[in-house]
Amino acid sequence: MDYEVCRKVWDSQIAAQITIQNRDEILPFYTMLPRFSYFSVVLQDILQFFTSRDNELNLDGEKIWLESKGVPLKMYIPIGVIFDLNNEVEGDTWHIVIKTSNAPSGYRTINRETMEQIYLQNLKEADFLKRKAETIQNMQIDEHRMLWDSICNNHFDDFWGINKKLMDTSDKMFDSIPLRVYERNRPAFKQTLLNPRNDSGELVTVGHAICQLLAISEILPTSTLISHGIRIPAETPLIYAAKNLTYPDNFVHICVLKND
Amino acid sequence: MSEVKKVQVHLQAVANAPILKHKTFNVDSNRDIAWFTLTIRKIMNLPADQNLFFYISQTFAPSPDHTFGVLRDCYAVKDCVNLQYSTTHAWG
Repeated sequence: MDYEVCRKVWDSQIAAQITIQNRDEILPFYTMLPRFSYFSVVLQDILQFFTSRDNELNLDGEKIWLESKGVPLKMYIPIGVIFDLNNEVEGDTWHIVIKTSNAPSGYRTINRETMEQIYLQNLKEADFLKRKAETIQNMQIDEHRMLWDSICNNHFDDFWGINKKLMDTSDKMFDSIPLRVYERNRPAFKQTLLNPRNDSGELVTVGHAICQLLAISEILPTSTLISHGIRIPAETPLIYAAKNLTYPDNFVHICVLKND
Repeated sequence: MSEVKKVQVHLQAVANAPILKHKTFNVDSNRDIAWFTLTIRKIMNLPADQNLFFYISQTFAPSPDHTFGVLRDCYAVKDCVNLQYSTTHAWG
């Protein structure tokens, strides 16, 4: 584990301005959103802030939904991935609207408890790809709980105290690397079985893995690979990304952005 | 890879989940779990307050955004995606 990199990735935040639909008289709420976290986690505090300022305000946490520049924001994808995918300008304030109208069909408002379940399922999938889910199934329920609590409470050391077990390759290398690749204006992510080494025993790079996933021969110079708001060099070994650039769900999430 | 193909899906009921008459489906590779969940709910006539979960390898539940193309590429056995389904949390 590269402590400096993991720590920087964990600490990276996005400045956000949050307003409520059709309530221009209510002052916006300004906050820093942790990139690694989920809207389901941070929303509780945001809603509480609004209602504590205005007792008359009635915001139903099970019904509201989120939107930015007309695009609905999914609650179960890490905040940083949504930001990178929506191609917001790094450093600019993200304008998010809490919507109280009917949500678009298929939109899921997810509370913190349900999000914990979804998080755990993602984590299990990542470990299933890495080593048939052996590590996570040998963990105690308490350890799963601590991973989630450390995300909710922003405790880096507690998180990595347990997460290092999921990252350990001293006995056995990962079978495949949990990588999800997103493109703008495409609804779904891409994911496949990616061995950390190729048939000649060389380390597979992030660039090669993405070419394989998108069925392209090369990453064009006009495309940028972004994760955690950082440009990821195509020659980064996939195993390095899997150990140091994952989100807490143990997936590497990379957005391929085309600069027109 | 963007070409839409049919993916064979086999369903297996666990716990007290309603049994389906047809257990094998051919699903477009660009369809996702969110769509599939709605479709199967309709076939089963599940009441709105009842959950429906799908699992891979009796281990984890794929996310609503997993397409059947991804499930085939990562988890198919002999070109078939096997999903277990349950109306309660079956595996953690």
